[in-house]
Amino acid sequence: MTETQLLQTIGMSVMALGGALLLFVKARFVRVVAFVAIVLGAFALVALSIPQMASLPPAVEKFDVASLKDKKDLAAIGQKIFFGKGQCALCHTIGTSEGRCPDLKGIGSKLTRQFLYESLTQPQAYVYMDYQHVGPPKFFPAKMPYIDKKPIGLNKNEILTVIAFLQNMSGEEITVDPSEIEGPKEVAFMPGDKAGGQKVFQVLCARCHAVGVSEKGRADLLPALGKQTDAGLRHAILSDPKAGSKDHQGLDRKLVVKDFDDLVAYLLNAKATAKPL
Amino acid sequence: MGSTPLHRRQGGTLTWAYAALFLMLVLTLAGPVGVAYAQEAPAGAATEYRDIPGIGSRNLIWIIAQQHLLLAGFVLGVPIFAWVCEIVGVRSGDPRYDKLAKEFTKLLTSSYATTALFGGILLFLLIGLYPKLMSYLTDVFFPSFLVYCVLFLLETATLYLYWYGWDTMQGKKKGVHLFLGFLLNVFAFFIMIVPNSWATFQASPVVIAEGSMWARAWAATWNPTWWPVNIHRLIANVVLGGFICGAYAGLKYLMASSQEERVHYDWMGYVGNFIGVFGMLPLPFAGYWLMREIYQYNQQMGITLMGGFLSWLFILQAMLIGILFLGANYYFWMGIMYRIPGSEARYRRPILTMLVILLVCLGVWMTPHSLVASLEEARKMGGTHHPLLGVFGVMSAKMTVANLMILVTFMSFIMYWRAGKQETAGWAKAARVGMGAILGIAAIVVVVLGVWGYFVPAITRINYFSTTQVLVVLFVLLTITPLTALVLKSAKTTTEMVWGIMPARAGYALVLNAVMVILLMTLMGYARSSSRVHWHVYGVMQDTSQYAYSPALGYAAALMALNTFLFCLMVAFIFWVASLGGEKKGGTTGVQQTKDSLAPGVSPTPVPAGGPR
Repeated sequence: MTETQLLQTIGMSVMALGGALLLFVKARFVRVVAFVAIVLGAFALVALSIPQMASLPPAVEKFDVASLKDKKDLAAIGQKIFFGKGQCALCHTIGTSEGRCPDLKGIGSKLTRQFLYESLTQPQAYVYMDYQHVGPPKFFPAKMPYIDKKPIGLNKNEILTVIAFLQNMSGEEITVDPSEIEGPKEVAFMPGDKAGGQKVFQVLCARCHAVGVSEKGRADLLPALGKQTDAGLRHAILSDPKAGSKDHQGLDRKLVVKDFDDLVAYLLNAKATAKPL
Repeated sequence: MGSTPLHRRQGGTLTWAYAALFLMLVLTLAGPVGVAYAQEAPAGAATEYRDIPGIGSRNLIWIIAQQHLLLAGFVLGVPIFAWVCEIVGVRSGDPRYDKLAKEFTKLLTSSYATTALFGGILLFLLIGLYPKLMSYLTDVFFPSFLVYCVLFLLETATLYLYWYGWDTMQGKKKGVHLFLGFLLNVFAFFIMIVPNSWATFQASPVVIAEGSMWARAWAATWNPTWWPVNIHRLIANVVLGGFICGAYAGLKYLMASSQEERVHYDWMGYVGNFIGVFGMLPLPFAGYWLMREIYQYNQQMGITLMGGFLSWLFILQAMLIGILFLGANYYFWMGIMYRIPGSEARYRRPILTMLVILLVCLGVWMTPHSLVASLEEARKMGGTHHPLLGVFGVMSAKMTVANLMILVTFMSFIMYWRAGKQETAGWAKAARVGMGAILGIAAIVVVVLGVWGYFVPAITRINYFSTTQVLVVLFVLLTITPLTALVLKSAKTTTEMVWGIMPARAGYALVLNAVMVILLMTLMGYARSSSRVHWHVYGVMQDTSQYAYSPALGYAAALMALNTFLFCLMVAFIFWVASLGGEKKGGTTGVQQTKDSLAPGVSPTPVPAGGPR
C-alpha cells in the first residue's frame, strides 16, 4: 500500500466514522465533532486525488572530468541542469508555447556562446528583448535572475554544460570543449610550523624515516617527497603506508590537527630547501 | 475584583484544567523528544539537526507551530473586534455590545495562556531540533527578541487590566477602559509584526554585513515581504477570530437548552459571521499584494508558488474560499428567511440569482490551468489544456470571479441589512438607483477587464488590469456601505427581527465557516513555507537535513486536516473551561444579559421543544 493509498483509507475511515456518529448519536457536541471530521476527511481526500508531487532539492550533477569523452556528454549533463538545479524550465519553454519568459527554441543558433554566458551571469547588463531582431520590443513579467548567484548558484562548469545543451538542442555545433571543465581544485590547508613539525617528526617518524640522509633502517624521505603536493603528502601519511606496514595505522588518532599541519610544513620545507641531487 | 467563593472555585477549576492540558502535552511530547537523536556530526563540530524517530522533527515542529500560530491569530484578532464592540456599545448606549465584547474577551483570556504555552514549546523544540538555524537567526535578530519580550510583558499586563477591570471601569472610568483596549491592540499589533519579521526574513532575507547589531536586525526586519504579510495576517486574524467566535456561538446555539440561550447565541453567531465576512472581503486584496511582492522579490519563488509544484494548491485554496463564501452567504440568506418573517417571497429570486453567480464563479476559480488527463485524453484535447475549460484556468478569469464573489457577498450583506426596513428619506430612491448603478457598472468593469486581460501582455494585466479590478470593488465597498447606513438611519422597521429560531443547519454553517478559515490558514502556511523550497533562509542558509524537501500536497493536506482537528478540539476544550464559571448558580451569563437587554423591536420567539432542527 502506497502512502497515498494509506492516507486515502484513513480519510475514508474518518468520514465513515463521522457519518455513523451523525446517524446514531444524538449528543449535539459529538455530532458537531463528527461533522468537522467529515469535512476534514473530505478535504484530505480531495487533496489526495490531485497530482501528487513533492518538491525535492535539485540533484547535484557530478563532473568526473575523466569520463567526459565528447561534447555530447556535456550537453547531456547540461540538459539535466536545465530542468533540475538551474530551474530554467520553471520560466522558459522550448518550442512548446509562450511562457512567462522568452521561448528558448533555437536560442543556441541565435546567440553566441559569449552572449549566452553573459545572459546567464549578468542578465540585466544588456537586455535584448525577446531575442528578436525585428519588431517592437516585447516585455515579460519575469526578470532573469543571476544564475551564478544564490539561490540557484550554478558554478562555471554547470553554466558551460547548459550552454552546450542550448547549442545542441538548437542543432548548432557545441563550442564548449570538455577540456574547459575544471577538475576539483586542491584544498588549501592551514600552514604549519616547521620547527614544531621537526619535533613531531623526531617523536613519531624518526624511528623508520630520515630526511636528507640515508641510514640503516631509516629510509631517506626526500626522494619520495619530490613530486608530492600538500594534499598528496597528507594523504600519503595517513592512508598510504608501505604495504604490510602497521606503523601508520591509527596515526590519525595520535596526531592532533596542529601537529599534523606542523609535520607537513616541516617535510615540505625540507623538500624545498634540499640540494639537488 | 473581589475574591468571592465563586471566583476561587472558578480559579481552582481553571488551574486543574490547565494542569490537565499541560500534562497531556508533556506526555505527548516527552515520548518522542526523549528519543531525539542528533544527526551525525563530525567530532568537535556543532550539531546542526536533531531528529525524532517516527513522527520526524519537521512534522512535530509543523504541528506545534501551526497550533501556536492559529491560537496566536485568534488572540490577536479577537481584541480588535472586542474593542470595536465595546466602542459601539458606548456610542449606541446598547448594553448588549458591551456584554458581547466582554464575552469575546473572556474567550481571549482563556486562550492567551495556551498560546504562550505553545509558543514556549515551539521555541524549545526549535532550539533543540534546528540548533544551527536558530543560532543564525539569533545572531541576526537578537535585538528584536528583546523587544518582543518587552512587548509581551506589556501585552500581558494590559490584558489583565482590561479583563479584570471590566466591571470596575464602568461609568466615568469607561474612557480609561477603552484606552486600555486601544493599548491592548497596539501591543498586539506589534507582537504580531515582530515574529512576522523572523518568518518573512526566511523567505525574503535582507542580510547586511556591516553596522551595529541593531542596524543589521532592522535591515533584516524590513524585508520585502514583511509589510504585505503584516497586513495580510492582521486582516486574517480578524477573519479567524470572527468565524471562531461564530462557530462557538453556533455550537452553543445547537446545544442550547433554553430559548434565552438560543436568542443570545443566535445573535452572537450573527455578529461573529458578520465580523468574519467583513474581514474576508478585503483579504484577497491583501493576498494579491503579498503575491505581487513575492514576484517582485524573486520570480522563481513566485512561479514556484503559482505555476510550479504548488500550483495545484491554489485549486484547493479556491475550493476552500468558495465554500467559505457560500457558507457565509448561506448564513446571511437563512437569516433573511428565518429572522425576518414574511421575507421569503421577496428575497427568494435574488438569493437564487446570487447562488447561481457564486456557483459559476466557484466553478471558474476551481478550473485548473492544466487538466489531469491520460495520454489519450491529452491527445484528443491537443494538450493538457481543455479547448473550452482551458480558457477559465488562467489568472485573468480567476481574478475576475474572485472580485465578483466579493461583490455578491457584499450584496448579500447589504440585502440582509436592509431587510425588514422601509426607507423614509426623500432621497432614498435616488440613493437606491445610484447604488444599483455603482454596483452594475462595477460588475461590468470587472468582467470587461477580465476578458480584455486575455489579449494584453501579462505584465499589463498584472500591473494595471488586476489592480483596477481591485480598486473598483473597493470603491463599491467604500461607497455603498456609508450610503446604506445613511439611508437606513431614518428608515422605519416594518418587520421585527426575531432571534433564536434559526434551524440547526445555521449552527453547522457557522462551524463549517470556521473550519474553512482554519484549513485556509494551514494551507497557505504550507504554501509560504514550501515556497522557500530547500532553504531555511532563502538563498542564504540551505536546509541540509533529511527533510530538505516539501511533501506532496496530499500528505500535507492530511497533516493540515489533523492540525485543524486538534485545534478545534483544543479551542472547544478551552472555551468549555472558560464557560464553567459562568454557568454556576448565581453567575451572570451573557444569555441572561442578552435577555434583559434586547433592543426594542428584537424579540425572542418560542421554539418547539427539542431545540432548532
